[in-house]
Amino acid sequence: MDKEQKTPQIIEFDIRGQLCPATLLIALKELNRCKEQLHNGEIQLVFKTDNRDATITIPDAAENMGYGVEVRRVDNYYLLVVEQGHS
Amino acid sequence: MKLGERLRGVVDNLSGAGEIQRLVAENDLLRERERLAYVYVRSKVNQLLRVMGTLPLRAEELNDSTLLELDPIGIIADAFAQVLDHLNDTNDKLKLANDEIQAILTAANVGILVLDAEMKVQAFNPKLREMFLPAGIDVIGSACSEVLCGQDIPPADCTFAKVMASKIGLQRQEWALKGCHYDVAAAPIKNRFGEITHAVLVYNEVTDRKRMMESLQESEEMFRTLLENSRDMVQGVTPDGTFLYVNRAWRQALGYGEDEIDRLTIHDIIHPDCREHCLGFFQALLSTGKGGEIEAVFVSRDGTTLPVKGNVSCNFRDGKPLVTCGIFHRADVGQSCL
Repeated sequence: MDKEQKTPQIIEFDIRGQLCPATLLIALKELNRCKEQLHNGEIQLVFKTDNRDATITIPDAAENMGYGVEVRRVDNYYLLVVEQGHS
Repeated sequence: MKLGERLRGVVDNLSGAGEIQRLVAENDLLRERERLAYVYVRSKVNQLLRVMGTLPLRAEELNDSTLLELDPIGIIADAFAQVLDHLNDTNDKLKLANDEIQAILTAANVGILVLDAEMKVQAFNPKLREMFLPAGIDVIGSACSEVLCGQDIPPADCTFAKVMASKIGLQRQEWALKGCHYDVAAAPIKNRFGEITHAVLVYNEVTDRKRMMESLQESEEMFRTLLENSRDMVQGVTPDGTFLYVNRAWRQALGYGEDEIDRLTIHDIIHPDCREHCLGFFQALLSTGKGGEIEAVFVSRDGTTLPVKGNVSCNFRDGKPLVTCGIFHRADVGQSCL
């Protein structure tokens, strides 16, 4: 029987106003800090950014680290949702 | 050293001025070393950031003290550790997938050939070697046309060329090579830009099947000729009463053309006085499979009665009646059921 899937806790970071590479470093720091919980599907990290470069650098880096990433456009900023990777 | 200079040195040491000078020089040296250390750290951080695909650090964004505080090298090193873990995990999965594919290729009872876009052989399974390739000769990197077709230039109907031109998979029936026949399925492999990088061709030998089909066709043709030229009336009737086959003697005796047979049923040619007897026999034949001799009276297209005598049997498939076969000849009136 499949394990019961819990809804992951969402942890949000507002990094609007920050530019690359600071945005990437902040995101990587959090991805390192929370890697166990991310891999276990316990949490989702959501980064709010208005830096267009970050919509490429953060998803690329996170996917290379094995996470699933979704980029959503919301009004005048972006939401980058990083979660457990799909095996 | 002159005496005057030596005396000045002794006086300076006594006053501490020499020690101050030495400390100032040492302090300058340490400052320079620290500056060079920050330059080195920044250059290495920028190198790592470039690897991560982002921009270098700007001095105004991160001064020297916050540079150490943030520890970007530590952050990126930890990120690289995760990247490496993920790559190792991916490699394990790829190895498993590769092993599975190799097992499938080895077990497959069809020949499988992988070509690159230049038509060069990249991989093949044991069955393909058994089908086409001489044992023990390495053909990886050789042109497919040389290896399979035995010619420098691909043939005009080359399956690989068709896949490259159409950019889609295709299937080909009964491709012939050196007296053998193959059903060929071919599919392109594309990169993320939609360009074909490889093509996979699957060969299923159908020589035996083709020969069997030809033999069956010949056999069927022979029996059809025999039946067509028979003086007896031959008919094949399905369980619903329609005609599957009637021979020339049957058509001539009852006056129907070939194109009219599809519209007829057994009821149309049996005389009303004989119908109960004949249809009873027909139903018993379908349910029990027990055939035998029968007398009947057929009615021709122009209404003429035709007493017949013959033999009827039934073929079954999976326990269900498939077709009844009847062979009749004209009978004397006294011999019919009228």
